[in-house]
Amino acid sequence: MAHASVAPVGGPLLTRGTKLALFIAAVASVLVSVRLFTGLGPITALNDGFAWGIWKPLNVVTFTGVGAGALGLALVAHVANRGRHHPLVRSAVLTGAIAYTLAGISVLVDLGRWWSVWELVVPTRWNVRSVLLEVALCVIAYCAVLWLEVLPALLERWRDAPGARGRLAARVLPRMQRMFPFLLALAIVLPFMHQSSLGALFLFAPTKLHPLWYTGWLPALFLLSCLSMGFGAVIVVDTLTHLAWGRRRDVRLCSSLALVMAGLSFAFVALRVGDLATSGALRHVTGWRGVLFLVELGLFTYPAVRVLQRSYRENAGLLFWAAQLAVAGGALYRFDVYLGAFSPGLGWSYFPSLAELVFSLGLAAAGVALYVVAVKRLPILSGVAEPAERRQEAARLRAHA
Amino acid sequence: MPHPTSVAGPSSPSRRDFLKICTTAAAAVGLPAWAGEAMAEDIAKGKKPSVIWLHFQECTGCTESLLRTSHPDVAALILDLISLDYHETLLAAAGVQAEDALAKAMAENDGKYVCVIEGAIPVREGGRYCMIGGRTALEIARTVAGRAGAIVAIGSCASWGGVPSAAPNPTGATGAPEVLEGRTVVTLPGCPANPYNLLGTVLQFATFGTLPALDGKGRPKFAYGRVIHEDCPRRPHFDAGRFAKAFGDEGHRNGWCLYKLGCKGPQTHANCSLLPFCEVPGAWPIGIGHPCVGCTEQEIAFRVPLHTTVEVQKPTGPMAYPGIAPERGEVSAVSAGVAGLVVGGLAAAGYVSSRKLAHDEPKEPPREG
Repeated sequence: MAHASVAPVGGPLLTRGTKLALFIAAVASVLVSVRLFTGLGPITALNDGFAWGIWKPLNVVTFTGVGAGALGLALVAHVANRGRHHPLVRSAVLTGAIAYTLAGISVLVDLGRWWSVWELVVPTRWNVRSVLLEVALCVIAYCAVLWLEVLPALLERWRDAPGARGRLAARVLPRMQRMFPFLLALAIVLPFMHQSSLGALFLFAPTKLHPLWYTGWLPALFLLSCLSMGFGAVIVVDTLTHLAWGRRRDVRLCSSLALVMAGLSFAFVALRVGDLATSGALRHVTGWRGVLFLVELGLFTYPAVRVLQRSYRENAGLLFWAAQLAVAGGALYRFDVYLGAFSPGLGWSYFPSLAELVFSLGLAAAGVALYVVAVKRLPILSGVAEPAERRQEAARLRAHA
Repeated sequence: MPHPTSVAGPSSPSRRDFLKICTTAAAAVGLPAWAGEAMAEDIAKGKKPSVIWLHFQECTGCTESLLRTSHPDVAALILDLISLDYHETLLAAAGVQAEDALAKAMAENDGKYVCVIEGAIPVREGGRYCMIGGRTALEIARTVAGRAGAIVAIGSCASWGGVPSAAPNPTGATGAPEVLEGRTVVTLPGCPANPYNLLGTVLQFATFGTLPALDGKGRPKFAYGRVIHEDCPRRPHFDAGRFAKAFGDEGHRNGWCLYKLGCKGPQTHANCSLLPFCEVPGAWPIGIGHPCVGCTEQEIAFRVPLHTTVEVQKPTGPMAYPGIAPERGEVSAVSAGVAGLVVGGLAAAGYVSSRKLAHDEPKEPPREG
């Protein structure tokens, strides 16, 4: 677990950006308190047909898809032992921890009887035949694992502090390092389980899911798409932190990840189209859902094809764009299964209410603010320049802009 | 014409009785109870609606059924609730006196009176087949209705031609709406029309100055919004497949569904099954064991043979069943706009920043890992 090059970004926490993010999050938390006391009806557009609205497809399935970069990098950096990707690991793990935490908060707010949520941790009250229970337990466990993976960053910071905190850090850090292989094993097994379960949830709905999306391969498709969009998200976050704080980075690290992303995207498209072709469901490519299907395939295929070209993937801007498209593709696939291609029965319709949109925005804003605060105070990011150098870099970037 | 409950006004000791009449009338026609009080207040102030009733090609059946209402009875109706200023059947006057009464009523309530038309209007050969006081029905209808505040065509004859218009229609008998094109004519088809549908319309106009909601054929929706079949007391027999197949057979004696005997209920819009004629339950064709003849419908009455079956146009399930696909869930325009802005903003920001980064790329010095 060598992270020699990582360092806190430093600088003031309350910038204009974080203030705006915190404001949106504050508005959302007001809505949350309204919802907790008045129920879902008054502020959401949820109904008995679309009981999940955008809460699951966006807040849970897309956010955790973005957070799946942690899984992807665990596979690349540790399982495949590509040690040079280590500089990206901490940022990805932090992104994952935040994304999964937000998803958990969203589920808690969305639960009809949220006051019963404590029963989730009482085994005698489990319904062991429920896929949702598997998802819930797995997500809770994985969330804990991710934060444990972030913990060394905090301890490293404390280690140099005098007094009790320093002593604690000095004692705990070596133990955490011994524990690391087990944590890592969990950090790979758990997301494999629940990311595929997020697809498996819809195996129960063969009559409600459009034939272009319903297949026995849903779990595998969800796993593949979470990995492709997870790698995309790692590249996006890396580029954004470069843009925001002018940190030095090696674009080649990202561009090699883009190749992995492309491979996963091709695997996804091949499995998806091959499955539909053999089952004969391709004749359903009609109407607006057919268009959705084609857009989805395009968002998977286009960036994957483009990054095969070396000059394309080694251009930071083009790579950034390809990564964004890959994230959008994964998100669209998830939205389609959970919302677009899902028809609970004649007469039902759904579009999120303003309050639901603000809640999701606030959740995302809180996540961004949390990420910014963490990387400013903890050693997460690599290539962080010295203050003077950083100022120069920022000035140079502004001059370009 | 003294009447025990007809005495109204400040000197009257029986204001209570009078309120009762008004409330009864309001209740009978489906207006709220307070409408009866409002009506009584208006009438106490002398604002009884003036009604002019015209007779043309008809049998006076609609008037006859109106005369047999008892809640309120006809005396209370024409003396207390409305001011029936011209009605050939009920008028004591005759000849010139009658014509003078018509002119006077029109002059006194110009633009405010209710013109009720009973009977079809012949238009062939200048309308010469029906003349009163030297004027054709066509001319009278246009003159009187032209200055009315509201026009009601009562009965199938006035609504769309009725019996006189049956083939070959030698006189060119036509309904009032066609003759009075451009005016709103409330039509109350039926042979005869249920008098309460008239009372409901006239009393609403008198009390609120408005007309009930009408369908495309000018029929009040409160009375003609559904077909007989939907509310028929024999409907359970239809749903269960129990039909009378001949008059006097076992099914007929047991009161089963009359559809196979040619009942037109499935296509006939009327409230006969819900609002009995003259407060006598069962006093309508299906109630006495005869199939509905579709008297309110121009396409059926006097055209389709009495015992020919019609297609069931609204095969609705029993009302206890839930709807098949009711609309559920709302889409708000504001949230759609906000969602569009957020997604569009993200896509645009991503595209612009990556273009800028890609453009800047060559200028940057090579970076080390």
